[in-house]
Amino acid sequence: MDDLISDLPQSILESILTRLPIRDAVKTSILSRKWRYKWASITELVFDGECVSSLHEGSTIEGSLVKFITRVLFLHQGPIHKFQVSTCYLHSCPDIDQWILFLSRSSDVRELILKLGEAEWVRIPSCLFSCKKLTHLELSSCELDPPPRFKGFLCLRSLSLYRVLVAADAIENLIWNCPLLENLALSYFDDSLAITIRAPNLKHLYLEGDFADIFLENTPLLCNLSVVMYMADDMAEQFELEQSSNCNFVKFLSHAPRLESLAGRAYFAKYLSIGDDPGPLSITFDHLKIIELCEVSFEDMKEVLVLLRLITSSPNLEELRISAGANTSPAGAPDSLDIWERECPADWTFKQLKVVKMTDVDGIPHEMELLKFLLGSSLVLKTMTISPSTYFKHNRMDMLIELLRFRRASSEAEIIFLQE
Amino acid sequence: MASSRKITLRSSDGESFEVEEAVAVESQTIKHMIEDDCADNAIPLPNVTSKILAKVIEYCKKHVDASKAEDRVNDEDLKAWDAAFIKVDQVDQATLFDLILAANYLNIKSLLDLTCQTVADMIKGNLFPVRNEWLNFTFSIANRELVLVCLTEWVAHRRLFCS
Repeated sequence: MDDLISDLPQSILESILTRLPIRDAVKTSILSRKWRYKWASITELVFDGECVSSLHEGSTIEGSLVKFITRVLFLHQGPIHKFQVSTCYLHSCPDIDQWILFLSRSSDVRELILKLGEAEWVRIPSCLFSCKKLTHLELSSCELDPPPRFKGFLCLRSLSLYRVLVAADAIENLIWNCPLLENLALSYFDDSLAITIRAPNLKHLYLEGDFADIFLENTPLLCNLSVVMYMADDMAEQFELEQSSNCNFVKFLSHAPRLESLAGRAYFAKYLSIGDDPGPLSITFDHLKIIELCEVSFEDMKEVLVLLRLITSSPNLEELRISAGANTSPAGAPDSLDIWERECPADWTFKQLKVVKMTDVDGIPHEMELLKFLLGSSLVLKTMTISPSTYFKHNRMDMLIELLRFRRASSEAEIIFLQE
Repeated sequence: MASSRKITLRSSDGESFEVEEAVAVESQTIKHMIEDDCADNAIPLPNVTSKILAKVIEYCKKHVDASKAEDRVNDEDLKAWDAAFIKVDQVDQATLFDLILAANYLNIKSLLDLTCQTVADMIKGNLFPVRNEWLNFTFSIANRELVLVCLTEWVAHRRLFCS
C-alpha cells in the first residue's frame, strides 16, 4: 500500500492531528523520521479523560499526567492557541503554575480551559492576566486574584467560572473590562455572591448556585438568560427584611429588553418575587419567545404576580413551560383571585403563543386561573400539555371538569392531559 | 448578479461542469474568483481532476440544498449523508486524500473538516500505512512495540554483519 498520508501539506496534517486524542498525535512521532515533529506544531493541546485512560499501570495517574503535559509543552514548537486540561485526576500542583507561565510568555493562547479535581482549589498565577489574546476562558475549582491594575481581556468573548473563589468586585471589574464579552457562565461560588453585571455586549448568561443578589445593570443585548437559583426559605425571608423596596424582578430584567429566551430553574420565581411589586412594567420584552420557570409556588401571591407580569410583558411569546412547586394544601390559597382580572391588561392576547406545558399541577385556584387566562387569550395556541402532580390525586376529576369549561380563543388548541 | 446564474468549472483533465452559483460559492476560492471578476468564461481548476471535482460538486449541492429546504433538513440526516458520502473513499484511500487536497485548495471548510475527521478516525483505528525510512515495510501507530523490536534487531544485525 502506498504511503499517502505523509506527503500531505503540514497545515492539513495539523488539522488531522488536532482531531486525534493528544496521546495518539504524539505517538505519530515514532512512525518515521519525517513524522518525528509533525505533531509538535499543532495549535491545540487538549488533555482530558482520554489522555488519562491509556496511562501506565503502577505509576500514579496524576504523576504520569503531569510529566506528559510538561513534556509535550517542552517539545512543542510554534504557537499554542488552545490549552485545555480537564480531568478530575489532576489537582493543584506547582506544575500548573509553570504551564500557565509558559503559555503567557508567548501570549498566543486564545482558549484556556482548566477543569481540575474538586478536592482543592488551584491558585491561578497572575501571569494568566497577561495572556492578552484570550477569547475563551473556562476555569473550575480555582482561586482567582486579578492584579489591581489589570485592564481586562480585550478579546475575551466567553467566560465560564465554576466553583471559583474570587472577590465580588474583582469579578465585576473583570466582566466590565472585557468589552467583547458575549457568553458568561457563573456557577457555584463559595459564598453567596452579590454582584452587579455590566457587560454591554453580553448575549448569553448562565447562572447557577445560590446568589445573594444579582443586578443586571447594563446588559442591553442580552438574549438568552438561564438561571438555576437555589434558595432556602429562610434566605428569602432575610432578603425581605434587608431590601424592602428594591424589587428583584426589576433589578434582574429591566435592563434586558432584547431577551429572547428565559429559563429559571429551582427557585428563580421566588427570587424574582422578593421586594415590592413594581406594578405594570414599563418595559416590554418584544423578542421574548420562550419562557421556562420551575418550582413556581401558586400559593404565594407574589410569585403569581411575577409570573403574570412577566407573561403580560411578552407579547410575542411562543412557548411557555411552567412547573408548579409543591403545594401545602389541596385547596391552595383561594384569596385574591381577582388579581387576574385586575392586573392583566384589558383585552390582552397572545398572538404567537403556540405551546404551553405545565407540570406538577395540583389544580389549586391560581393554577387554574393561569390555564384559564392562557386558553382565553392565546389566539394561535396549538397544544397545552398538563401533567398532574403525583399528590392530591382526588382532585383530578375536578381539575378536568373545570378545564373543559374554559373558553378557548384558538380553535386549534389541543389540551393534552398526561397521566403517569 | 442573479442568484440562479450558472458557473462553469473546468477540471485539470479538461472536463467542464456547469453548476449554480450558490453551489460554486461553497468554495471560498471560487467565490473570490467570482468577486474578482475572473469568472466570465470557465473557471480553470488545474489542481482538481474531473473525478474529484464531480464528488466535490455532489457534496456542495447536497449542503446547499439542505440549508435551502423549507423545514431545514435534520442535522442528523445531513450527518448520515456525509458519513455515507465519505465511507466509499475510506476503502479507496487515494480518492480520500485527493478530496482533502481539493477541499483545501478550493477552501471548502465543511468538506475539509469532514475529510480530516475521517482520516483522524482511521488513524485511531490503525488503518494507515506509513513508510519508515529504515524499515522497508509499512506499519501503523499502534505497533510501537513492533517498531522497537525491529529496530533493536536491525541494530544488532548491523553490528554483526557490518562492522
